[in-house]
Amino acid sequence: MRVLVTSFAMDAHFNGMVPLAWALRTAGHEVRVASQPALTPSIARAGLTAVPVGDDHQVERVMAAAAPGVFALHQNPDYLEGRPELLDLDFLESSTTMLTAMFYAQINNDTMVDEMVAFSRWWRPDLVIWEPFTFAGAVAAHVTGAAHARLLWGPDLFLQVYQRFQRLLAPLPAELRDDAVRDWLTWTLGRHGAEFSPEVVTGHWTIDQMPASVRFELDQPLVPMRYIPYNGPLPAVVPLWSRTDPDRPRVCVTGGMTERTTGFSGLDAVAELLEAIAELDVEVIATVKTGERMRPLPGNVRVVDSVPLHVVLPSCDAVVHHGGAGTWASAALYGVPQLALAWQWDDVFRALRLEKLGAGRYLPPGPARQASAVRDGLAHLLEDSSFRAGAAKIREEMLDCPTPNEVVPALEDLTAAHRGAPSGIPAGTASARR
Amino acid sequence: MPTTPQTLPPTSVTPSELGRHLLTIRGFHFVLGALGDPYARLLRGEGDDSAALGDEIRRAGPLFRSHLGTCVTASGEAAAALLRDPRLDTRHPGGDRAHLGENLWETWRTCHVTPMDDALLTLPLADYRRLDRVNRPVLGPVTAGAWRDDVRRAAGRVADRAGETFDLVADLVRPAVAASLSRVLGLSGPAGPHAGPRVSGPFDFDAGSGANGLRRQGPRTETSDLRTEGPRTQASDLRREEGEGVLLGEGPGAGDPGPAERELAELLPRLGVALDAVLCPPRLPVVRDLEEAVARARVLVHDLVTARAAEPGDDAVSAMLATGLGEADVAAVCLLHLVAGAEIAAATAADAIVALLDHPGQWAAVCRSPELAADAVEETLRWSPPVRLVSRTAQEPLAMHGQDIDADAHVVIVVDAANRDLAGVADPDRFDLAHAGAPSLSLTGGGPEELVAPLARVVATEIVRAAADRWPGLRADGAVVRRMRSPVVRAVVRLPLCR
Repeated sequence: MRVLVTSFAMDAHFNGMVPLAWALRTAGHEVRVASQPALTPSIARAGLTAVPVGDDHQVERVMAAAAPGVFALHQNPDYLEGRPELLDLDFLESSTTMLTAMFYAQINNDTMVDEMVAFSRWWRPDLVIWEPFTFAGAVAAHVTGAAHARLLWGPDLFLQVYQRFQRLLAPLPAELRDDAVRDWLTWTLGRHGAEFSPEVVTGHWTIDQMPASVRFELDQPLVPMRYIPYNGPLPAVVPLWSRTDPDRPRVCVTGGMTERTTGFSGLDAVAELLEAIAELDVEVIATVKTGERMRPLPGNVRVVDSVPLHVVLPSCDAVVHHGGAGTWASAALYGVPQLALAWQWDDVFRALRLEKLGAGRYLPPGPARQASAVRDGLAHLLEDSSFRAGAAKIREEMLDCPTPNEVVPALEDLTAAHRGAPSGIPAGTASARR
Repeated sequence: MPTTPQTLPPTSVTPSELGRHLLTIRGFHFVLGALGDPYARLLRGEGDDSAALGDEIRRAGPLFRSHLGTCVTASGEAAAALLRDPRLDTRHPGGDRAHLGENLWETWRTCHVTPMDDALLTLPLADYRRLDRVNRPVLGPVTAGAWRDDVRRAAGRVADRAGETFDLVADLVRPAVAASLSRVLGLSGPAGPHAGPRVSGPFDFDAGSGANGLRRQGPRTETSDLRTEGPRTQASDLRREEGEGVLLGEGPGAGDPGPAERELAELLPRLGVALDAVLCPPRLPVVRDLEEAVARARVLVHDLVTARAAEPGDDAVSAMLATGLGEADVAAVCLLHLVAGAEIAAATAADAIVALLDHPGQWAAVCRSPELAADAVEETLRWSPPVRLVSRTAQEPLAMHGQDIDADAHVVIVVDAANRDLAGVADPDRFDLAHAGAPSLSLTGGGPEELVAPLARVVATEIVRAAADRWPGLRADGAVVRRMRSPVVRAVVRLPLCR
């Protein structure tokens, strides 16, 4: 098969796709990875074949202006804590409008979509696998008749909420249905001579890397897949200090990949936090940006610029992090109890699942996050062995999922079942100008 | 003196670019709305109590600065001053009102949201004053009443067709407005010479300048002469080719609407979104449909004026042509009555009936004394105006209540909130026929809404009266549904009624 893999240009969203891309490659399939030019170096470092499409997106600039309002709305606890049945039409319309205007239509800029469609018309992929916000992949697949699937990096909050939105819109008369993501995809598809179809939002099926107890049942074809940690574009090197067992409990403190590359962080006042944690009888491995001004830290704190999580986590007794998808999933895979300082999106939902499953703690923003509170929370995590047992259960669930290699035959079958005729009008006959 | 220097270059804008522009502004409204900006919340057009938002804006002072960059007033005193301030006008200094190609992240210009030049809603205020020289002798504050008997008969015929249960908007208000305008403007009058293929030259009614507004542009073999450019009028061209275009002269029978009236009834609701689209981005298909409807209305008006110029009838167009002020200006005035007047009349009539049915004692009073319909309309205009937000741009710097408004600043007057803040009204938040004669800023300010107001008042009043004359037991049989993205008009689109 020819398989087009695509993520908008952001490492944290692309990293989770690399192991499956390689599994398809080693199964003998042709694999290309399309994204804006800014992701080309990361695709190349992953050893994959890049197809730069369009201009770079400007989402950081847009969100610099829009983020306060976007976050203000999405602090709704029913959203963060996964209770979509309590979300009303006003919230859902607001959320969909904002995210479409400020995020989806930004990270899927017109030139990126158009060049991905053009590439797909020429290369004729059998299957397009898209990061769940990279609707450009769905558009390219829909226009060219390829089968297409979303590859999730976290619990499917997006689709859960979107399905709730659709259920509330359905009884309304057509002229009162205000679905911004559908409108945007309608004119985007129209540019290429194709009509909107609900699969452009949902994919023909979904590949889900979450353990079963963190997954939603959403009445959509689902292919579970084991999460395989990939370290991202940073070199994965095993440091000397990590080649022996620690003589005390080891704790990893990390802000993840996204903290390194964007302004978003759940970890405030890092030095103070590290000092407080170091009061415990533990060895602390802290991955924080070098160059960040740090006062001298206690001797049991080792600050490293970066370390591959799959190298260090198996030797850790606990991890303190910002709640991000990759960090959460890596810790879950190695059965490490987690202290999640999450504050946005799916991060909060995943952190709360840790509490429910007895595999970690969620410290909400506010006083619960003072350095001393984090220290006490961590001490609890280390002292109570039930957290280790809870984490081990999640690890078992993840190991029960088929590996990317084992998933490939299912993807081949699904592709054969869903591949169809192109629905778009070939370039040149569709007039986008009016 | 051309009044419209050049229309926008629509051929340079793709549907995707227009869609993205509208989506971005809609996004701004939601993002700032989520942070509590009451003006942004107002512009979202739904999900909020607009009266409460008006109060919130007023509490922030006579001039509230929205994070959108707009200076907003909900204060009666400030609104009255701004509405008559000659330093405010409809366009930016220099005439700009086209923001489609701009990077909104740099300009943050959320005024002139949808291009509205073809609908004549962004003419300089001086042009509306000029057009009113044509309008005033025939459809002005003093003269519009002369059409009352015609409007009463037209609205009455529509009301007589209503069944035991019917919809306020679809079965009464919209068809009655169409029937009234059709009669007053003479769309159902005598046939013109154009009933077959025409070869007369078109005129440019955007550029009308008195008696010489008629501009011959050579022989004409197509019907799409009034289009600005591009395929935006294609749909209407197609329809005309299919034989639907020639409507004049097919007057209505005794009860049923004629084809002109039916076409108008279909066209007017599509045109109605124009008043909202100035400030609130519609969905892309709605804008495309509006563009098509405006193009169609321009053809309709052109044909009408040409026909009446050749063969006058007992209608307002013929009377306006008799002023000798030029066919182009007459056509422009007609277009404004279709684009703005019809929506204002429909919104006022619908809101009046909704308010009266919510206050059964007042409905009973109007039914006992149908002449109170005029008071009901005036109170509706004060309490629930059909144009709630008036958009202006400062042509030069000005100061107001100690605050500076920069040149080029966007200024918006929240008319409904301002009306409730005017001195001399007892219990201003209450809908009350006893408020008759209370001060109101509705449909003032010298824009298109003021020009069309006298006829719209007559039409709205006669629709309310037609209902009150016939159905004292009228009651709502469901909930009021308002159009989405309608912060300016808050148009009622549905209310099932039982008579």
